[in-house]
Formats: sequence, C-alpha cells, structure tokens
Amino acid sequence: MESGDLMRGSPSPPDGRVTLENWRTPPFNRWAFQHVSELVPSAPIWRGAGPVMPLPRAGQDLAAIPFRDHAGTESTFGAFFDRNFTDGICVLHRGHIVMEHYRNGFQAHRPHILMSVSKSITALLVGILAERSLLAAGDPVVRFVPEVAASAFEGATLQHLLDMTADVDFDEDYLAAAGAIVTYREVSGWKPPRNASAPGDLRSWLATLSGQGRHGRAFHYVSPCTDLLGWIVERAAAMPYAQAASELLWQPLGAEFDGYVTVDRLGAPRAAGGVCLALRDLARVGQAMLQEGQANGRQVVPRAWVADSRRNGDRAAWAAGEEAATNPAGSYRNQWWIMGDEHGCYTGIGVYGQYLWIDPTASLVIARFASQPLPTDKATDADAARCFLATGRALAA
Amino acid sequence: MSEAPRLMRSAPAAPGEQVTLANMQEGPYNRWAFRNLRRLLPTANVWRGDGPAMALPARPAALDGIAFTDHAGATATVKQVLDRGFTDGFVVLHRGETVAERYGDGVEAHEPHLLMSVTKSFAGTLTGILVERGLLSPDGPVTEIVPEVAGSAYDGASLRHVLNMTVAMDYDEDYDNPESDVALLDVAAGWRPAREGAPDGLRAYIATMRPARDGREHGETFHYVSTNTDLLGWMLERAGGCDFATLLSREIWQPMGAEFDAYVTLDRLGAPQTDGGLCTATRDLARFGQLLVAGGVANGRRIVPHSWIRDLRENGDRAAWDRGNFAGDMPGCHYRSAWYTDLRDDHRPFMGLGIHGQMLFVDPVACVVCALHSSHPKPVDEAFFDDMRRAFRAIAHALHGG
Repeated sequence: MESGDLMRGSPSPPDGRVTLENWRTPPFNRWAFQHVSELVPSAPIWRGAGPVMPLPRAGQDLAAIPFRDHAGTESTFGAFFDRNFTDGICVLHRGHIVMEHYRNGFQAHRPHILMSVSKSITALLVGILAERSLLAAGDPVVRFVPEVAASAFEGATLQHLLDMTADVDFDEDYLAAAGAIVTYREVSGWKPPRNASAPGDLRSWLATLSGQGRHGRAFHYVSPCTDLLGWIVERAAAMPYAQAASELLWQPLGAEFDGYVTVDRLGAPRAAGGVCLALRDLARVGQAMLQEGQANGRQVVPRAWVADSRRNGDRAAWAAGEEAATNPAGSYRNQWWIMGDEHGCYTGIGVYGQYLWIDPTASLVIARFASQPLPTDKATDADAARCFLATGRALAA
Repeated sequence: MSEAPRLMRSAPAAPGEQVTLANMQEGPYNRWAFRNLRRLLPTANVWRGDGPAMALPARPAALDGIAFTDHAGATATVKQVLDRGFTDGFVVLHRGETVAERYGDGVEAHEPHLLMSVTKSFAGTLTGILVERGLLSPDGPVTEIVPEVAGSAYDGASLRHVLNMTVAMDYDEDYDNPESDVALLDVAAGWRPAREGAPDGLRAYIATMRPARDGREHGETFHYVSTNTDLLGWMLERAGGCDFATLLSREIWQPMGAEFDAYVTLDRLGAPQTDGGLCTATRDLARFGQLLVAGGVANGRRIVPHSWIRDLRENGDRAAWDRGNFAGDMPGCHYRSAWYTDLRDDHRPFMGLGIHGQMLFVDPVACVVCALHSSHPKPVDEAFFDDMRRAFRAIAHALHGG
C-alpha cells in the first residue's frame, strides 16, 4: 500500500484512516511518517531567514553499484532502494547531490520523521552547548535535571547517556503490546493514553525509571536516555529544544526548510525519535559532519566533537553490550553507530528504515527515509549496511 | 503593549504557568497559545511553495497619531487603541507597501498566529475560486456534496446560505459558557479535552445541528454559527479533491507568494478546523488582504475571481443582517461569502473578524490593508472591536487623503 491509498477522501474510509492509535504500524506508517504533525502536536524548528546551504548537483549513476546481500545474493544499490519501502533518498558525493529520489508520495519540502536519527541530531546540540561551556560531557545528569536524582540516572553522566551506557532497566522491544515501552509512547503523546484522566507526561515518567547504577560498563540502547538529553539541552540552553535546534543548528547550517519535533502535552520534546526534517536538510547535516562540522561558511558543530564522535567509541562497552554480535567491529559514540570498517563509516539509524550514513573516506553521505513494515528487521538492516559500505568502496575506488 | 505573563518558560513549566488544551483559550494563557497552537494540537502545514514572496516594500508612515472618535464619543489615537489592546502583530499596507509593522511581547514576524474566525474569510475566498471553476455551485444544496448532514439543520440549505450565515438553525454560540453548542464544537475539533458524550470529531458534530424552532427559513436571517464554516471546509475538500491545507497552499498561499508556511488545526480524524483554526504570520495575513485589494491578482496572476470579490462587497443582504444577531453591536453592515462589509463607510471596506482580537481590514478604495493579531483575554470585547474598526477606517481615510 502507498501513502496515496491512505487518508483519501473527507473523511477517509475506516480501512485507510490513519490515527494516533495506528500511525506507527503498517500500512498506516506509509502515510503517517510524512504527516506526523497531523497526528501529534509539534514544535517548529525554524530555518531562519538566511541563505540556504548550497548543494550543487553532479551526474553520477549509483544504481548499478553491486553489493552482496545478507543471504549472499548479488544485488545493487538501485535494487535496494527500489525495494524496502523507501520514501526518499538523497546521496551526496564530495558535496554534490548525485542522487535524489522521492517515492510513495513523499515530497522534497515535507518533513519526514527521523525516528532515532533524531538522537544524532540531539547529540549535536549537546556538542554545540559543550563548546560554549554551557555543559560538559562529564557532568552528572542531575546537575541539570535534579528531578531524576532518585531514578536510574543517579550517578550517570551526560557521556553515559550519549554513549548508551547508562544502566537503565528498560527493554527496547518495539513490538511489545504492554510494559514500559507502551507507557513511554503514551506519555510522549505518541499513543492515546489508556487512562484519559491520568495521561502522564514524558519528563515525569523519565524520573520513574530504575536501574542498578552500573553506568559506563555496557552498551544498552535505551531511547529515554536521549529524551533526557533533550531535557538537559533545554536546561543548559535556557530555551525550548526546538528553539535551541533552530538557533544552534538549523539557522547556522543553512537548512532549506523548517523542521519540527513532536512534543508531549506539557511541551516536552521527543528528542529520541520525534524530529522531522526534509530529506535534503538531513543530507546537509551529514555534509556538515563530513566537513568536520563546517558548513555554510562556518563552524556549525565543533570540530573536536565531530572527531570525538567518530573516533572515541568504547569498544569494551560495545563488546559487553547487546549489539556486539550484530557487528563485532562496531561501537557507539555520541548517538552515532560506528561501523568499525576501514572507511571509518558512522551512521544515525532510526526504526522503520531511517538512515544518515556518513563515509568520510569516500566523501559520501546517504540520507534515507523509509516506512518499512517492521521497526527492526535483521535482514533489511544488514542489507542497508552492506549496500552503503559497498557504495562507499565503489566511489573511493 | 501589555506584557505577557510568564508562561511555558521552564522545562517543565510550573503548574500555574502551564498552557494546556484546558486553558489555552483563556487569558492570560492565550497569549502563549495563540502563537504556539501547533504545540498543543495536531496541525496540517500550508506550504508556501518555493517561489519568491510577494514584495512588501517598507514605506513607514506616521500612523500613531491619527485621531478618531471612539465608541464612547471620546477622541482617541491609533497608538492608544493598539497599546490598550493585546496586540501580537499589526501590519498596515498602503498601495502594496508596508507603512506600519509592529509586534508585541516577543512575537516574531515569522511566527504563525491563530486567526480564529478570520479563517472563515479564507474558506469563503477558496469557495469563490472553486465556484469559478465550476466545482461548486452557490445555489446547490449542501446535502448534494455532503450527504452525511442530511436530516440535520442543513436539509434544504444551499452553499450560499452556508457562506452567508443564513442557515436557519437552533444554536448557542456563547463563548463564555462551557456547556454551549460552540464549546461542544471545540471538544469535537480537539480544542478542548475530550468529554463523555461529545461527537467524535468535527464532521460527526456538524451532522448534529438542529433546525430552527422559530419558523425561520434558510436565507432570511443572519445567524452566526461557526459550524457553517466547518461544513464549508468539508465541501471545499470534497469539491477540491484534496485536504484543506493542500488546497489553500495550492490555490492561494503559493500563487500569492506567502512568505511563511501557515497551518491549520485538525481533529483526531484529520478534519480541519476551517471555522477558526488557521494560523498565519501577520505579514502573510496582510498579503492576503493585498491580494484582494488588487482585485484577486498577485505576481501578475489571477488567483481570486474579481467578480467574487465585487460580489461579496456589493451584494450582501442588509435586511438579513438587520434581522440577525450581530446588528446591535455592528450596525450598518452585511455579511456575504464569509466577509463583513461596512456599509456606513463610503469606501465600503470589508473585513474578516475573529474572537480575541483577530482582524483583517481591506479598503479597496484607499488600497489599504490592516492585519491585526491579538490575544485579548475576552473573546468578544465589543468596545475593543468597535474602536479597532474605527481606527482602521481612520487610517485608511488618512492614507487615502494624504
């Protein structure tokens, strides 16, 4: 099913109706991921009034670049994107757009949800605030958010949150029908609350999470850690997250379109997954990372922060963590997945097929939006990494 | 201009400083809410397109000292009424140039602000565009396009009755009564917290309108009922073949050269609140007025039929107005195609008006547009509206004569 088959007519017939109850599930996510503000309240990330960061175009055909998929079958870059519920791809090579496609009714000016690629964006804000000495990665979380003093986050530092090594009892099981992850969606405003008279809110809920206090030992992917980072950004910058994102990142970067972030009923941003951006603008973020934080004629993200994000993943924490088997060479730093390959690739990854892939050796950025039917899917996820790695190798050859 | 109270400043805001669905329409909470509505509700973006914005060159003129006789018979100045009001944004255009532009209380020029019922004038203008294309007929029965409302007050009503607010129905539009029909409309639109027994969504709500009990016929009497314009929005979506936000973007916002995206609030089923849920930057509201001053042409392109603009200004039913429920507060007007026209002024300016101080004043004789966004604590402070209208007329006549 395509987005054009959903929400047709006024009102849409019930079987094509996308609501707060069903929006993340297939096939409804095909429409929803490019229409999130129509389902959830949101705060705008203003692009400012300045010039757009130019992205010149260059002719280059990537479609035939081969790779071997997870099952050992020969495939191509073009085939990967033709399958797998792609909504949009924008590929930059040496700062030029070499490929830009929209599918499933998606359009260049529309913000699409990043899901957990939002985390990589949030971490950039942390890095920018660190450069301005408004916070430091080694600071204790409770310095900024004393509200979580009696929770799992006692004793944790910002760096633990950034690296997903805070010790939090939370099972990131996206398909669970009950438990903490369902409550998490409700308090974020991503799902109607079961108890309408006690809807809760994201920040209060964060303070209820528990853990064993063994921070820094093992990689354990807990999205609420990034929501807490969003809260810390608000406290350190003394402004709402969306405004900080606009003033610290979106305006200096020269974004082309306004973005937005979903907010709960008290205005708390879903900094871990609720950022929505236009495709070319996501690619611009990647290009800024490639250029060691420089874009649009200025140092947008601190050079040292980019270097730290690329190089200082904790291999021991990774080896002790839950994803070591998926990629034994990998690590995770400042909300980026470090591939551990010879090109030094790193990526933001969001459920249902969102990527911001950066290959510094090949000077390659791949921004990709999708509305895959499953939040995570080992085969497709593995193919994405294989495809992107092969593309970088082909371009660098 | 009055200062905003401390609202939604910290993360999270202290309970007394929180703006929520439950309080967003009340003062002082509306001061934050009216420019942050998308943070409280689902909204659909109205894209400005990728073309250039309509140029509004600055040519500042001294308007502050323009004097007029206020509602109480005293002499007042433009500055006095603006300072008295809860002004968030104010833009005056004369012959397509910006002669005044000011913002209150930290409001920024790019921020879309709630228009309340000035939204209706946008829906009415879109109707004119679709009528011109033969996609809607003013005399056609509404139940032909929206059969879902058959059996309600809308039986026998035409699109024209809906546009002119002359549908005969039984309705309580008391903004201060939480149990009134219009308060229930807010619940259905997602503007107030869900309530037991309320219709599920705007469209379900529209179908519950009750026929008049006093023997009135459709077309006889002006009776201001916001639901009419929600039905109009529904008809626009059906006739236009797309959602309201897309239609507005395609037919007006892009071709006119809006500078910023606008947005409209949606209920939980995606129905747009077209009686009052549109939010625009003040400058873009003024551009919309300029489009109408220019006879429906912008950037060298015909956008709104000129005949439609002439018709709304010239062919209103004065007798229906005089029989209606606004004649006491606003004598000497008529209401046609979702615009008010002031017949006592020889320029015949026409206006969109929204509660809590939203106004778009268009004087095609003086080529003057006044766009006002406010967050007045009272929905309808008749002295405030009266003085603002007087101020706008005085501005138009001063610019015209000078």
